[in-house]
Amino acid sequence: MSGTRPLVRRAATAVAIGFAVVTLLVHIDQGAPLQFLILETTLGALFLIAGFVAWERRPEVLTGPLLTLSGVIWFAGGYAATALEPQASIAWGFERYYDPILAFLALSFPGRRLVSPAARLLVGGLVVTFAIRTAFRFAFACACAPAPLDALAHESVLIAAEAATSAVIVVLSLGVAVLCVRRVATASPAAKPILRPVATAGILAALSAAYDAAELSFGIVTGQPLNALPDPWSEVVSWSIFVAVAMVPLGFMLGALRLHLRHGAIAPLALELDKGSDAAGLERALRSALGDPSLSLLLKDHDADVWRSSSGATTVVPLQTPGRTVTLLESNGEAIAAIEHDEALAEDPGLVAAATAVLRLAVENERLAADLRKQLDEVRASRARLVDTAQAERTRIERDLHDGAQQRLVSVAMMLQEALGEARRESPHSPFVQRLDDTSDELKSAIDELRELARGIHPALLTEEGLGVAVAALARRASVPVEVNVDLDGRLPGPVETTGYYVVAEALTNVARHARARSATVTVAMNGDSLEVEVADDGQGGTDVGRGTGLRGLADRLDAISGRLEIISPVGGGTRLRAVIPCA
Amino acid sequence: MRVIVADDSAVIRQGVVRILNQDGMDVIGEARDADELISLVATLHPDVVVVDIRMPPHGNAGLVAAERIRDEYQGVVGVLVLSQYLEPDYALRLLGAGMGGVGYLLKDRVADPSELVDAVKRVASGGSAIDPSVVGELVRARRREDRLHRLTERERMVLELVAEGRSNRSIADRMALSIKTVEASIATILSKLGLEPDPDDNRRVLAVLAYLDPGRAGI
Repeated sequence: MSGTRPLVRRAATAVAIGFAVVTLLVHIDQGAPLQFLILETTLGALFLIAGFVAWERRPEVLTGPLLTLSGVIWFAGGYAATALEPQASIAWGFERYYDPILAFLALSFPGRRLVSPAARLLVGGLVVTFAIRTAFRFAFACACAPAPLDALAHESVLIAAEAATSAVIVVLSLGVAVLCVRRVATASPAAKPILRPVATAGILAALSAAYDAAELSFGIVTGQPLNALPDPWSEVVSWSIFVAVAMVPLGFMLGALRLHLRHGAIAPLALELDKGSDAAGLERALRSALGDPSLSLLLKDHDADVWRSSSGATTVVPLQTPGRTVTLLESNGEAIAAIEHDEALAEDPGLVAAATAVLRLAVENERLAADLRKQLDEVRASRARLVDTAQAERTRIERDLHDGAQQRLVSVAMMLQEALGEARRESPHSPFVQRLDDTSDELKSAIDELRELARGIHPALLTEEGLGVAVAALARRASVPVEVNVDLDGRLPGPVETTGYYVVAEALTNVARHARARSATVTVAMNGDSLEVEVADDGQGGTDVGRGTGLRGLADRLDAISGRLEIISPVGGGTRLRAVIPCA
Repeated sequence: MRVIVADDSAVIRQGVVRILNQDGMDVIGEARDADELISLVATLHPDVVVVDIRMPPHGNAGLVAAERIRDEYQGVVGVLVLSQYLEPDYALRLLGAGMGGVGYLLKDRVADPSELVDAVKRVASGGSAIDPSVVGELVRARRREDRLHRLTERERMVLELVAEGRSNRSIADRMALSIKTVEASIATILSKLGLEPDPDDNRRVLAVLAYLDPGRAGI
């Protein structure tokens, strides 16, 4: 959407104002009557103001510059009433050139081009007719021409040309007025409020042009003024025409402002999107922003070639039909959404583009969020699997140690003992016997250590006897007296018991290492569908999850199974560690 | 003495058989899993069974079979469980209501033939045999709570031997004391701990172990 740059716009407006001021001064200098000065300046100024406003608001279309140009032409027309030459002749030659310009603006609004063939025919006809009239005026009656044809000799030709062009202008202008009426009448509900002020301006401008041309034509043919009504009716007609013409620039200005207001409706749309609305909410916001209650929003599923309506039902993207337009939203070359809407909206591409840009952000944002959610779910599932796998691995290692290495070492110890017995019988005092004895002791220590190791990796007691017994065993081995309160009804799922066990084990390890506690309490009980494990001590407190890998690992483990870990550990106030483990 | 040995490891099973044979015991059957053990006991009527806690078909099937034999052949078949686990809970579970004729020994004791033989004999004669390490773990837990500090060092040692299921005679031998002294010492210990004197050795073992195990109160 390219528009003129602000500097260019304002410079052009300044030049136009300068021209108006100069023209006004010329009129004063020429001794023009006050009423003429006021009326002439008021109407011209209205065009310049409307041009400026429209240009500022919608720099992407021609409304602004063409209204400004119309104002300039208006002021230029004033020279026709002066005695100055060649200004008066030139002004007369280019008289009312704003008529085809206003016809173009009225019929092209809010777009940049004339869409219908009828409009092109009428505006083109007006331009050609005005050009022919100018040609005749310069050829036969201009003081500016280097060698004007003999006016007297050709007066009948000039008169005929004036009458003919005026008649054509009357017909074409009435045609423009009819077309304006028809545009409003056939416009969609979305387009009507926008079109109405501009169409009204167009009708008034066309009627004014038709009246002016008719008056000229009538005067030439009959030699009588068209407005031959007695006073005050003649005055009333003149003033009505004046007011009507004054309405023209105001109408165009209002049209531009209404369009701009609609662009302003994008802001509420953005707010609506910011709230994270669902598809139906988006559709409502779009309808209100674009002023098209018939609009429907379609969203394409993320990873599938499936389109859904705002209600979520699968659908297909509708084809363009007469009166309806489908605007596709693409992201990275892939269609992500579509808006099916009133064709009239396409005439204001800026509005639709702004709305779709905002919508694209929302849809892309939602897609990214969905991607992220999916990835997060995958990471969670994978982390839970890792925990499960690690646990299965620990259980397997514990089993292998008991059934394999430990069993084997016990066999070895047994055989060594037999050998030792034999050696003692053979030579009881040999240093060899002593060494075998030492070896046997070492082996027993190794077996003890291996048993401790296996229990640390995963206690068989937990697998075989359950959480209550295993927790009691932990408490028994703890460094301080531990009161155990277990209230469980039977066994829990393996991962739940294992997690609960490690919570108690880690907590009691921390009590031994850091707490300087005299005693601790372990409470294990179900609360709804969750297992709650609490370990409290009367030590120095000041523990936090960040310190040490044990609690951190515990928190991670709980997180992986959607549980949670709370640690309340005020300095000097003991430590209370509470874990909630979901059993589902 | 007629013994059945049950262990899924052939090496250990044979080792145990050798040790028992050397002491003149008669090993009348060997079982590789819990089911085989149960059927052998039913057909061979042994005086005592030596059972691995961990046997096919699942985890602690040996312990389950041992409990079943204890209940079904109470006072007839002694049950000694050999275990990899230093877990007092298993020992206490095996002691049941304190009827005697049961023992819980760590498996490494097979490398100490006299300990194994002694335990088998005690269990066979209706006594109890609890591994010193298991008793030691319980005693450590209790000492933390200062309760055992009321005992002298000698009294504590006597207490541990009582907990292992040893008779007054055996304790007297081990500590080189007269049997009178041991009896007096045990009376003092039980009184200091607030336990009722019990003429039945097995119930005495259970009472002492239960006293020693602080964790069980809350379960």
